[in-house]
Amino acid sequence: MKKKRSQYLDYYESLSESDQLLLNDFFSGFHQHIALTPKHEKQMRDDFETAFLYYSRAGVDLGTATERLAVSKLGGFYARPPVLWYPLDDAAKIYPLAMKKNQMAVFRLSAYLKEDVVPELLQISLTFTIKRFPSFATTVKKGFFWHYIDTAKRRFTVEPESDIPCRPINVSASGSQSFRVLYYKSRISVEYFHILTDGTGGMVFLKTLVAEYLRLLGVAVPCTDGVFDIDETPSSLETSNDFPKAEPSEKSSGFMGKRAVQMTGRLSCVKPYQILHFELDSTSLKEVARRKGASVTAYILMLMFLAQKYSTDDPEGNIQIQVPVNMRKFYESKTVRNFALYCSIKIPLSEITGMDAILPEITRQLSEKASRQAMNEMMNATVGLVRTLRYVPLFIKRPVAGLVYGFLGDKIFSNTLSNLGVVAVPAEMGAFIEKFDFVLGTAVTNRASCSMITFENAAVLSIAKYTADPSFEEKLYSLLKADGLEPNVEGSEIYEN
Amino acid sequence: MWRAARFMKIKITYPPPKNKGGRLAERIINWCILAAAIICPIVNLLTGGKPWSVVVLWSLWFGRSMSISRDMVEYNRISQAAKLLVYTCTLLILIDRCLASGWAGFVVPIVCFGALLAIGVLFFSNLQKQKQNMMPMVWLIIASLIAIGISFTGWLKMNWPMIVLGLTALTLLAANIIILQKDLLRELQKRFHTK
Repeated sequence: MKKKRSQYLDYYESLSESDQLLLNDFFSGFHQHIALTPKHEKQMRDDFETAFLYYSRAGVDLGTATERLAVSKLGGFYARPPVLWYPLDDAAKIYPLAMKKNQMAVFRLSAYLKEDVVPELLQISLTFTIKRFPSFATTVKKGFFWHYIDTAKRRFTVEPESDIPCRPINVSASGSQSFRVLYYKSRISVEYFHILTDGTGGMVFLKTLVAEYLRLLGVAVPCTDGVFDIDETPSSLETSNDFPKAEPSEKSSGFMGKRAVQMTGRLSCVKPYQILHFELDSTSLKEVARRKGASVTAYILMLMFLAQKYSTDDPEGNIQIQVPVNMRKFYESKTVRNFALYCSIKIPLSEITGMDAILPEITRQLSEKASRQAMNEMMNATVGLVRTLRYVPLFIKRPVAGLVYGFLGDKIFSNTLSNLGVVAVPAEMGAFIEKFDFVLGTAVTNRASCSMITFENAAVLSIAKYTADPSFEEKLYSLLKADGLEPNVEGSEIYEN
Repeated sequence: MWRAARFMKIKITYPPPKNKGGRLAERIINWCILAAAIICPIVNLLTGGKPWSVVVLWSLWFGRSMSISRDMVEYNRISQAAKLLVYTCTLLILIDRCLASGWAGFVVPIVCFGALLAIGVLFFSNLQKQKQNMMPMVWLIIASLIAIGISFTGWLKMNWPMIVLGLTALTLLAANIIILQKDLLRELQKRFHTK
């Protein structure tokens, strides 16, 4: 940092008097916008100085640089004391209760740009973007009855990626971040503690972050297609808990179920064991699914059922795949917090005999179990459970939830398929993005979690693996190939020693 | 870089991790603690005498939770000081009850008012940051006031350390109300919400 500081001083000395004045004005404006601890204020000033150095190296004139880095983009966020706080939404309430040292509900969204990431600008981009997402600028806290998230005023940091994806986030310290922004080569990733948001909300944040990053690079990105205008005042609708929108229903479905068949491979000590991405041509994928008379989700589910059966030695039982359902499909919602539930697609092992045998059943179960009525029943169950437990102190709820979750955990599922669908971005932004990917890092006993996201012609099916046994992904790969799809496989090395 | 898994070629697009998450030392310590927690009560039962193993068990739990099994939410100077105080007082009471009795009613209030004073200093010396961490201190103040209240009824021994503890707690409570005002109310509202 000292080297950068002296580099900045050298740069400052090399400027003309008028440019020096421009910078002096800039930093006096900067200090008016900041009321953080001296440490964070200094770090943030360093960020801006490094960004100026980058612009100077890139041949961007100082006028343009000060315009792009305009301190007005900081708004009042860093100048005001932390007064906002948010109760957890109904879906998030379980996450802090069930988390353990090595087990935390973390998911990850990544955007692959066409050029390597400039860390200096990504840091500024996060500094500007976070104020638009007040519920993300928070730290988890313990109340007497429930956890909550409390505003953290600090410098939110980006880090070079250098560790296992989706590893637990340290949320214990005062003002700690509940998400992390990482960069590696041309990839920008955000890993979220699920307490903050779901895939849809997370994608809005990532898109807005990338759009702001591109603006700092000089690309004008309009605020459409889920890109937020970071200068707008956040609406309370964006941070609301929308679960109470459930329509009253006579029935309310429960969360319990019988244990599902698991893959037989030994659970790895290090989680995840490996990350794999199957990149597919989305047009061909859609065409194959259409030929079979199914949706893409149903088609992928069918392959997963076959691969799952191939990966288990259990002679009987049910394979159950958890499919998260975005409730925004059914209810008008602007929230960027959790607003998703799940359904479970279940087929007995004995009935999994081939593609044709199970695809109609999967399609039927999907349309029935992911219907508005079924999801409304589940929403009612969720809201009812939260209401019932609201006056039970946390010191009672936590060990009970820990026990129940530890006993049952994700054992009622064999696997998960979370399909975020097609990502739309403004055309100006799309020109700089190659693809997106989405990784779930939440499994406890499941040996794999699958997730999917499509951008333009790239559909990326990601597998977070928790076992050394390669049967599942190899079967999936061969099934895709047999259907004429040629997956381009990318991923991580094996993380377990 | 390419890695082949039988017939599937994987292009490696992630950096090698810094830390492969071994944590062998932690596992060894946990096993040692577990072994001690099993052996001590057995030896105590077999040899008879005072129930010293209760003190050992609590000490093991104390050491483990303060070092390797840290709090996952709210691990800060106030919460840790409060936790240390509660655990220490419990240990002192156990030693008093199990090994050598008669002094805890005097020593524990001294430890408590000393710790309460230290927590107050930690809190007010970094008020802006610690404002959001005040709750463990509030709990300790409430517990101290309850203790002095019980002393008035005669259930606990009334002595000078107890009076000093009550005064320290009252002073801290007054300081919180005067200095924090609305912030104190907001903090209580957050901590006791049922939404």
